[in-house]
Amino acid sequence: MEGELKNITIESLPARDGNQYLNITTVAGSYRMNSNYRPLTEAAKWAEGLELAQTGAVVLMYGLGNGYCVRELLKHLSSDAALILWEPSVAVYEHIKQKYDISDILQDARVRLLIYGQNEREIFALLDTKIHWSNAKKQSICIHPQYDKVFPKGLAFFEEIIRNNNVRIYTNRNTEMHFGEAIATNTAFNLRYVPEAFLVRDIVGKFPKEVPAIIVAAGPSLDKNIEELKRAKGKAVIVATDTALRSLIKHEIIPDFAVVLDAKKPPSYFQNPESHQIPLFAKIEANKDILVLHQTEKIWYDSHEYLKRFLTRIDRTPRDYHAGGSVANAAFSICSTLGFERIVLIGQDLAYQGDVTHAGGRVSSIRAEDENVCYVDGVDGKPVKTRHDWVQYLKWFERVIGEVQGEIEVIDATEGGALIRGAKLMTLAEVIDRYCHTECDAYRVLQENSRALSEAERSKFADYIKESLAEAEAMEALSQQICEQCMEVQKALQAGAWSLSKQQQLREQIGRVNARLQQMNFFLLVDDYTKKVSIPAITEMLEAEGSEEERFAVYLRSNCTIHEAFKEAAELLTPLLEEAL
Amino acid sequence: MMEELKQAVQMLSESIQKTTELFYTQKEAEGYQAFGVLLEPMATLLDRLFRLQAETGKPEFEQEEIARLLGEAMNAMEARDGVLLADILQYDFLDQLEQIGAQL
Repeated sequence: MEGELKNITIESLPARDGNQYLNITTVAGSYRMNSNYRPLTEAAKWAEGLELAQTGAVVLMYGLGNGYCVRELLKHLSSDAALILWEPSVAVYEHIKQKYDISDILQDARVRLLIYGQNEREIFALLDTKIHWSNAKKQSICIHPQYDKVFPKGLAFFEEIIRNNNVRIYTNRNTEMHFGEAIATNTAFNLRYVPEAFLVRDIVGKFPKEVPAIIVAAGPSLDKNIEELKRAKGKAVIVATDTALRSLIKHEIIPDFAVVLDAKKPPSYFQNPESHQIPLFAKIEANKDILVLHQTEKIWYDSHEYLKRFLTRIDRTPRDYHAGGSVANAAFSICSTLGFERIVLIGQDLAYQGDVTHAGGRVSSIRAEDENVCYVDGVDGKPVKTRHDWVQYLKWFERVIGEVQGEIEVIDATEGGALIRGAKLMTLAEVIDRYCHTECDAYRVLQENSRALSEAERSKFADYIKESLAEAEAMEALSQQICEQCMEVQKALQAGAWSLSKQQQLREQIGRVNARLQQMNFFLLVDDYTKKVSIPAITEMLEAEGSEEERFAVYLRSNCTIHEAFKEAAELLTPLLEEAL
Repeated sequence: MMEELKQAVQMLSESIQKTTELFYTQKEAEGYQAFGVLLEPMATLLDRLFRLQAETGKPEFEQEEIARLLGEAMNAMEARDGVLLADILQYDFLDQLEQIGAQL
């Protein structure tokens, strides 16, 4: 990709109509990026040909050009649309800034310009915030004329980012549906731990800079060097993923911290009583059965929005956390946030060893495993067998390692498995010999720098829960009212006794109730709890086709289903909140 | 015959406009296909116009200029520069064709 950005000549020349047109010459040839007859007319026609969502469109455009096409495109976008503009060449951008006035484009609130080589890494966060499964179908990808010919490799890179993001969106959608109920239930249950729990933000930057963090995952290669890890105890901060705990304890290694991520992680990973006494980095939505077993310090590293709102209220907003799919990804994020300058990965195979998936010769299979098998480069240069979910975790590592390059040295001391690009390969023995010289009492660092909630904060927490209980009561009543109304109109509509001309009024009324519910803190829990029902219902509404009457019938049915689920969720979550008081 | 020729010029103009739209909206493959379909009727019409001019001196137009424009269009097509091809057809060739049509 870098090659196509070199040795290019950029010119702006007069077109026949007196406007400037952009011309780029590369080793492959000379390309007019606009019409050299009437570039503005061409830009207008180009924009007219695009297929865009009428409202809330998210347009991903490859190439700024000289701004003519972008300006025309913006004329076709509604005020709530977003335009993510990706310019592959810094040289082109510099030329455009010098020769054209594009201030109107740069100041347009809908536009976000990313330039490869300057701020392209922001694309991940941007896609994360702008595109969700509910608006994924409003995405459009467009290419500035000729950019596909001048910068084809850059386009492939841009499209790959978008493709991966779409895979992530739909995976997240399925994950939300699968885990939503457990997330809400766990969060409501685990609120009882909030007064005593610590926060990652309190220990950021508190560990000695020269001490590395060693993240222990449970890949099959862990068996090779687990004994070596004993030498690192007390001279590195050992952070174990929940899946690695049993192997570590079996080898009499007690890590400094454990990490738990999943809302449905089996409690069997915490079957050893020793694991109950290891300080635990957890999300409040982690499996409640594990948190019940766990007896010592719980440290929230990220929080469900419900808790985040409370923590923000008492001025203890948690640090930003970059979500990855696996618990090892989570451990890496935590160590990166804590300020470790050297992070070492072990047991991070992200690949099979024969048929073995985990340390201790364990074989853990997934649904439709055969369809998920694929191959990636191994650390020894040969292809290794892996799974699509592990590839996602691998890609996440590679992306984040790229983002922290120059700030954090990442060492892969797994001694096997998939190649993690950007990580330096070393054996664990080499890592310990080179970097584990400074004594570090991680538990002391935790104790000396962390604190539970103060008395005043506990009182505010109780108030927060009480507010939520009042919201739950109001929600039940409002949802009941919507259900009754929707059912009544449905019946009348079927009997031909209801005029469609009144639908706008009803839609507005339901919209007002929905808006009121969405403002409630308690709704954050209910929203997750009902994902299994609401996601298919909302999808059905978004994709409804047919006559106006048919679409309205879908709208009524979907709202009825959603509000029934809201009522049920409010009833079930209320006792859990009461127990937290 | 003049009326028939006039209609043929008009039809060709409309087809060219539709073809150029395809290039301007980045539907290049469709654009080249449409242009390929246009070539035969375009050649037939021009041949008739050249013969008519040779026989009657009317309509007035420069055969060399038409030939030059078509040559440029072919070069643009070979260079796979769809926008340039569209520009030549839309602004140069159509301009000539309209002037011819007005005389029929």
